[in-house]
Amino acid sequence: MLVCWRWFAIVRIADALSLSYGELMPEVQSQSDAATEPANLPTLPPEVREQVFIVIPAYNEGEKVGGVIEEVRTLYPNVVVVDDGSKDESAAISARAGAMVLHHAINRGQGAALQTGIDYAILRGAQYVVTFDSDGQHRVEDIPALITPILEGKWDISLGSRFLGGVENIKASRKMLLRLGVLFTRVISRVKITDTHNGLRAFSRRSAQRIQITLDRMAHASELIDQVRDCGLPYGEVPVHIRYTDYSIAKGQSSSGAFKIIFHYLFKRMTS
Amino acid sequence: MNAFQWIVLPILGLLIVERTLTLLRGSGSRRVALFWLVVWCGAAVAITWPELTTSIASYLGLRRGADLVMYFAILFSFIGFYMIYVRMRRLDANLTLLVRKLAIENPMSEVDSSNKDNG
Repeated sequence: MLVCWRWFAIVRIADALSLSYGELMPEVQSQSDAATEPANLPTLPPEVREQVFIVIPAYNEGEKVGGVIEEVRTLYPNVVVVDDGSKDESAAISARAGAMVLHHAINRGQGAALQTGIDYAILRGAQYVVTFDSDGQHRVEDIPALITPILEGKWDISLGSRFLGGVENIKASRKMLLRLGVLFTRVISRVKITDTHNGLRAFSRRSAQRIQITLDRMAHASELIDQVRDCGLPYGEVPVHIRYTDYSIAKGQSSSGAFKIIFHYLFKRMTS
Repeated sequence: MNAFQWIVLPILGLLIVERTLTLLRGSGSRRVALFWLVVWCGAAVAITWPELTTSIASYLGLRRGADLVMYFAILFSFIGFYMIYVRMRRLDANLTLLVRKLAIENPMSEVDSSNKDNG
């Protein structure tokens, strides 16, 4: 009976979400006029690219991280990889691929690794900081679309949205979970954005200086949204494309981890 | 005195002596020592005069003194868990700060950011 009721509730929520998803379009600005075809994407001048620091947190990503860094470094020379206490060769591979490598002596979680990378990028004089995943799910072609609004003074923080852009090979369960994340953020954080748990983001220097991620593990994404809302600087969403592969799905968060994330996030909100 | 009192009261007596000595020596946290002294003394009083807890319980609208002790024990356990969890989170946060400081001060390899070969 209880199972039936739960299933009924889930189906109802899913229905409500898909029906109302059009309404989830951001009240914040969005770069929806940006074309999604790579050929039409704006490109950045070399002097701007040199001011961009790409922060890549990596934990046991030796298989993919080297290729990701090489691809990023064809256009963006400043890549900061934060090896989060990996047990494999992630750090050495990243160094060989030409990244600046910071090493967490013990694993502290993705949120902690991101903050380490952001701090270091600021220290090294970054004017723009982009957070990028190490498993190959993000595309280098999306970076100019994230930086351009900041460069033009439109806003200070660009949040990538796979639901404004595109997503390959996403499972229905993951899509629903992400939409629940959007709903959760709408209710709890009162922020209307279309994709709350997207790791592809860009920050101006001054906004990066105001961000201070304290939730070490995966709950940092929700915390970051709160900080983006509270930092007093304008932000907007940019369509990006996410490529889910068997590798990134296997390495990514399990759906059951969502409950742990919610607990950590709500605990932080209650105690701070 | 019943068998339970014969077993438990000497143990509580030892604990009270130990905490009192800690307080007098001034070693460790005085607040923590005082807290445990109060807890052990309270337990000793409740076990020696069980009817005392019953009268307090009936004053609070409960029937048995044992219920009162049980409710307070559960309440304080949860407060204790919460305090330990908060402290653990603080330790965790400090550990991250330490790991971050070490990482930033000792980058493994660096590429000159003025390198324009790839630009």
